[in-house]
Formats: sequence, structure tokens, C-alpha cells
Amino acid sequence: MYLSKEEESMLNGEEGEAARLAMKLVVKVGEALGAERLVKISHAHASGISYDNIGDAGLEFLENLYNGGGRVRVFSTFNPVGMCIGLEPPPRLREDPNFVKKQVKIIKLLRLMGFEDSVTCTPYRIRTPRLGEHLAWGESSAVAAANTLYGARTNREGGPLALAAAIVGRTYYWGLHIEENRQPTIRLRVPGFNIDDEVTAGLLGYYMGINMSDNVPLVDAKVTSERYVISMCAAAAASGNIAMCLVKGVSPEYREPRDPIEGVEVSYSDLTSLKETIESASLDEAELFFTGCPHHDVDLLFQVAEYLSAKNVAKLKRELWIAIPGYRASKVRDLADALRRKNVYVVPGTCIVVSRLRGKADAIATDSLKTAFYMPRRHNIRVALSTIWEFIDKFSA
Amino acid sequence: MKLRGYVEGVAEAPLVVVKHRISFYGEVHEGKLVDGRALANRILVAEGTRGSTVAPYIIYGLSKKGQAPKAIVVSKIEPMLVAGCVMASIPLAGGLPRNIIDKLRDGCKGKLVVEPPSAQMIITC
Repeated sequence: MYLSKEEESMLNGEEGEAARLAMKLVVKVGEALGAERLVKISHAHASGISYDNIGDAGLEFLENLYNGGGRVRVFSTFNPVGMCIGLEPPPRLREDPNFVKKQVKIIKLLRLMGFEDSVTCTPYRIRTPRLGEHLAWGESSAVAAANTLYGARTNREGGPLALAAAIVGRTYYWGLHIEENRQPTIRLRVPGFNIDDEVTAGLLGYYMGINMSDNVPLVDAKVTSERYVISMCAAAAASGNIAMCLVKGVSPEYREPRDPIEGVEVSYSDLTSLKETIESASLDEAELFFTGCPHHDVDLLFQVAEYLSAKNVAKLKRELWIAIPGYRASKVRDLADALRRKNVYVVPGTCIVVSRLRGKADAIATDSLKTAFYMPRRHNIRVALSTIWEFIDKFSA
Repeated sequence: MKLRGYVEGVAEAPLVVVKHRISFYGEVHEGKLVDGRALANRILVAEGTRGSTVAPYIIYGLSKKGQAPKAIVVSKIEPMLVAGCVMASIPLAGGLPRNIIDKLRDGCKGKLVVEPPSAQMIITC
């Protein structure tokens, strides 16, 4: 691999042990994949932050980088953690002191290395990616959003590689960093209905992940909001390995393919059938509803508050949890207090996928197909699918 | 057969065969697949990877606990799998034809030599 003088000096340890280790990882992965050079990045986003996910091995890896002088060279953010940040958690998410100690240590190390205090899986809400710029992002849903919504360029970087890229300010020039790899390779037609709620968007993404992995799908569908594109991308990156799609009317790089490509058509009944294969619980069985995978912005909290007021709901019969970025917690404290009295919990800086809910619930409901993919596998918790509004209507009477 | 080599090393062990893409996050617990099959002292053969980018930490953690496979061979490669295998020094090869995976089963024996960018594997069933 060709390296500049500055890159070689990092690799030789002239800029500290952490930069040497980080550059070694970036170069080794790049060389393994056949990359010819590195590319400077403008934003790194590290995944693998929950202590429940990375354990002591991951914590040691972070400590080694920090103790070796590791400091970020570019704007850098990090993913949700394994517990609530900044607000009182719902009782089921209260953590034991040992877990809290380890999780806080991970956050402190990241801050000391120069990471922004983000604690979210939606880094594009903190710094909007620009068309054509190079990023090194972990967090599969954010990767797909960056490529699809903004036309920025990132591969599905593993958590440690994104961390290493933050320290050296570069990643390997390969895959979706290269123009020719961003061409559509399969067409997905969705005729006759709009993608206009979280669950339908997620089901379409889940379908793509199962059937179109390793492709860049050209999505010919009417997706009625940016949020639904994000939900679709998140599901496609969980049930499969989709890192990018081109959505008609949304993606800045949407284009007709140079050469004819295979096409697939999806009907509403295909998605209904898929939903039946994913659901393992009924809405009646759900002990709580979770939304915010990926994190919601705080707008939804106001919408929910207004909806409950309009319906004169004093208290929902079952808990509703809404996950938002950790950095937003302090801004919504009063609203969160008011919502809690109605059995609505604002859950900042975490989500139930990366938390420790296993054993604390048997069945939940969600509008997130990414959550629906991971909860049975990781937490042995059954899942029902519905929109947040269906859940509120059902449990507000 | 000749394969594409990504992470150097040599391994000889029985295979564990997964005929779809696997998410190390959520589909591997304490070194075992969700169906209970253990990965330690086996060569993991899978169509590829999917899901969370936390995978490299999971692979690294498995190797620290002695629960990682001896080597990994896939049809389709993903960068995060490469990162995990680099961190854990697990030999990694790709390019195994999908139709061959369908013919393999657990207990077939594999002998893998990876010298990037090439790799060779001998399988006896």
C-alpha cells in the first residue's frame, strides 16, 4: 500500500504508540482488502460502546489506545451505551454499580481521546455529512443513512476500525469510497403503495437485507419522509449487510444504471407475509413498547405529549419507551418528567438492543425492525410489531 | 481449492457450516451459535456476515476467551470481518463458491493455508 510520509511516520511509531497501533490496524485491513492507499476522512463514528457488547476485552483495547496517547485527529462521535444517560431510567433499565462503573469508564476514555459527547446512533444529526466526503463510520444504520441520504462515503467499518480511523484521521480507500462501487446493482420496485410509516419502512428494509445483501439496491418506491428512509436502512443493515441504497426522489446520487440490471417487485402482501415470519408475540402480550432504533430526535416527544393530551390520556396502561441521543437529555428534562407521569419513559443515550433487558421482559412491541431482528437473538425476548400510534390507541383507554 | 486470502495463518480442524450470513452480534453467544454449536477448535464456514459493526469486538473477545474458531472461510467478505480477524489473528479466506457451502456439513475436515492475497483449502467429507 502507498503511504504518505505522515502516514509512514505514524506506522513507525513516531507519533506515539496509539497512532502506531491504530495505523497498523487500518493498513492491515486495507491491505487485506487490496486497497492501494488511504483516504483522509472528515468524521469518524465509533460503534461498540456498550460495555454489555464489548466486555473487558473491548475496554482493554480502548485503554491501550488511550494510554498510548491516542487522541482523535478529526471530528469524532460515538454510539449509544448500555444504560440511560442523563435521565432517570425505567426501573427495568436500572443497572448494577459494577456495570455502571465499567460503562462510565468507557465513556470517560472516549471523551479523553477527544470524542464529542454524542452517545447516539444518529451522528448525521450532529454534523450533516456532505455529498462525496469520506467518513469512517461504524454503526450499521448510520453507515447506510450516510451513503443513502447524504451521498457521503463510508464502508461498514467495524467499531475498532472506526476508532482507529479517528486516531489517524484516515481510512483505507476501498469499497464505497470509490465511485464505481456506488452504482446500483439491483432494482427494487414497490408499486401501488407508499412507504409512510415506520413499520412498513422497516419491513421493506428487512426484505432488502435478506434478499439483496452485497448489492446497492435502486429503490423505486415512494418513501414519504426522511425518517422512514433511516428506518428502512437500519433494518436492511441488520437483517443483511446493505451499506447503501439509492432511493428515488431522496438519494442525491440516484441515477439510472449504465447497464441493465436485474429487477425485483415487492407487493404489500409480500411485506405482510414477512411481518408474520418476524413477529413472535401479539400486541396484547407486549409488556412495553420501544421506539428509537435508530434514535429519534426530540420532536417525537412533543408529538407524543400532544397526542396524549388530545386524547385526554392520564396514564398509558403499559410503558412506552422512547430512545433519544444522549446529548439531548438535559434539554428535555421537564418534558421527560411530565411524560413519565403518563407512563412514557424518555431513554437517552441507549437503546434496548445494546442494554441488558434480557430476563426483564418476555415480550415487547416495537416499530423498529432492527430491534425486532436483535431482541429474540440477543435477549431472548419475543417481539410484536406496531406503530407507536397503534400502541397508544390500544393502551390509552 | 484456491481461495482469496485476507488474514494469514494455517488451520486444520473440523468444519462448522452456516449456510447463510451470520451476525456475530446476536447470533453468537459465549462462543456458540444460536443453535448451540461451538466455534472453538473448528473452521467456521459461512456465506458471509451481516448485522452489527460491533462484530470485531465480539470476535476479539471470543479469541481472548479461547472460544474463537481456528479460522473463518466465507463466500463474501465484509471489511468488519477482516478487522475482527486481524485483531484476533484468525486466518481468514473468502471466495468460497456458494454452491460448495451447500454441499458441506459439520464434521467435514478442512485444512487451510492463507498467504494473502491467496489461500488454499482442502476439504474432506
